Amino acid sequence: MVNFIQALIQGVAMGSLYGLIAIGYVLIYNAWGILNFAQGDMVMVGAFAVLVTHMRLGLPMWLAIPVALLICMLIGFLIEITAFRPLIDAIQQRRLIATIGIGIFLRNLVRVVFGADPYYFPPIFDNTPYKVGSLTIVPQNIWNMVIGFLLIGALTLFLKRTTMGKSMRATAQDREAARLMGINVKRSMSLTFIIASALGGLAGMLICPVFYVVPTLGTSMGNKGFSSALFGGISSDGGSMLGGIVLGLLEAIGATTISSAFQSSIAYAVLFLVLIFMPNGIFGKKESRKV
Amino acid sequence: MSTFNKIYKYSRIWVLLIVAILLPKWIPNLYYQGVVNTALIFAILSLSLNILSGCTGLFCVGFVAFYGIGAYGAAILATRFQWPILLCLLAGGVISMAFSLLLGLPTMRLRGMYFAVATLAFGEIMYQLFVNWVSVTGGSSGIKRIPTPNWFGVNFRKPENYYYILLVAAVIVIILTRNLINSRPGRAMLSIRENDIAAEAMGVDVPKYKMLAFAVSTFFAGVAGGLFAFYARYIDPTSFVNAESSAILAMMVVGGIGSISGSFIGGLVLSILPEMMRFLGNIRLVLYGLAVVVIIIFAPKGIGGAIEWIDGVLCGTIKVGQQSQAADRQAEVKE
Repeated sequence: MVNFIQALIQGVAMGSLYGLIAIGYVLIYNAWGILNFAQGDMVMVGAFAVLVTHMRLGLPMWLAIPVALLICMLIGFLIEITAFRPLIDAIQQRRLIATIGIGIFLRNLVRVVFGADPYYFPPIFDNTPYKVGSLTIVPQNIWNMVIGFLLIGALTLFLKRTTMGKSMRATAQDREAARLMGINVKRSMSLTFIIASALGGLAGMLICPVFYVVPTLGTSMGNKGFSSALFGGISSDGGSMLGGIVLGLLEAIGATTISSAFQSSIAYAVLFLVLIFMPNGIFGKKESRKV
Repeated sequence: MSTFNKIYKYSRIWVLLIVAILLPKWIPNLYYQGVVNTALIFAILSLSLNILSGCTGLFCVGFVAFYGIGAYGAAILATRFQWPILLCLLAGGVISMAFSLLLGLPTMRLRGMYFAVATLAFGEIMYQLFVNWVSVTGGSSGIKRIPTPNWFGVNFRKPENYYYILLVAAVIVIILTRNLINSRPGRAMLSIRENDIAAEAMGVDVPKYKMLAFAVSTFFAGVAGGLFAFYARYIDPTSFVNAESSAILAMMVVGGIGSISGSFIGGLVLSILPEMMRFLGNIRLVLYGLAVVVIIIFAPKGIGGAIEWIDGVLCGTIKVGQQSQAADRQAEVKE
């Protein structure tokens, strides 16, 4: 029983990070109508950015993370203007391949610069476990959860309450109509991309004390991220957070009760079932299509 | 049409075939022969993915799984049950096709990206299965001592001999694909790619033809897997990591979506290019990623488009400086 609760805590903590990555997918999918396969690599870029600012440049953590976030935003913006904007009217397959190409490019660029060896990163938050009854609680886990939920809350407020956020949502709904309403469509699409990159990067920074930092970090994290996005329903922002947590829980419970060798397969198997029985995800709306 | 055009039109395929047959004579060493052989296997893979993703528009991001199933199926039948190799190759294809039915029946009604993600999940699960189902697949130590074919008194263990098996397989796959696309089912597939709702309204049985495309392409992928197993004589899960799927997709798209010659040459080019750039070290993969993006942005029809244009000029059907008919048609569609 104690093990089970322990697994639950671990699962929710990991899941809120998956949720952060998933939201990047959802934002970009809604604005650009495409699954961004390079989003996982933005997670990796975030991890390496904070590695550079904190370990190499020696900035203190409170400064290192914002600087790293700025780097992520800049890289996100560069990706957008080079690989997304020129292809906005192209057929979906070409656009998908472009995002895959960008992913390969980023992953290998980082490998050339930093080498393929894993890097160790010190814990961002206090890492001494507390004992609560017979449970062990690591503050890092709690912080990940808190940050995840705070960010989702802030993002939702931003999208619902501010003019900028509203114009982003309008653009996502219908580009042409938004343009007719006098919304700067290009700017709000760029902004969406930058925010998504920043969220992915931040998730990477929070992950790097947990895993070693390697150039292939993005692939596994990216797959988890968009599995969560689909769990929650790709058309729903808040749903992806829940999707992430469901995925995290499933992984943790699967690893403790069945077998840790099949940990990632469990997530995929569940994803598979969700796709078959609930193609729109847990919170997604049904899409209607016409010719 | 001038005489030159006529001669070109009738001789092109034979010239190509002769060049392909003589190729091993000009390849300097075994290493490059190996590169060419692997490239041929990937060209077959990219060609078979083209039936599914290029012609029917079903985006598959887990295609390597079917390649792996074919390879493991053929290897297990050959090592444990001593089946004849030709039979193993076909059986590998059939097993892979059976898996596609298993995956396809529940997922065929998923559209676009959802289908893509379902195939991705399938690819990851299959990879885990290859690694963890030790009693059948041998786990991470793989399957060793796979026999090589020994037909007509020729030992195909030498790469330059095995090349001919691959060449024959490639030619058969090309001919079958070409016939499929130019037939009634092929046209149904193309109509599904363009617009599945409109296709259904015109009386195309959408699920049936999607399934057909899936079955055919995974059959070829399975055969390609078998060809790889008998060529490498040793298989382990690292050859079937799901990340390879996006490499195959890139081959198909860079080659030209829906184009047979394009996806075949895309497969050849994208598997030979990284080897040619080996002297660059790790930077070659950076350049590879960059090249994929650049080709996607600046050459919408991929290598296939360029080849078809040159071919058209040499055949006399397209004049230099004049837009090709296909481009005109695309412009019309856009309007």
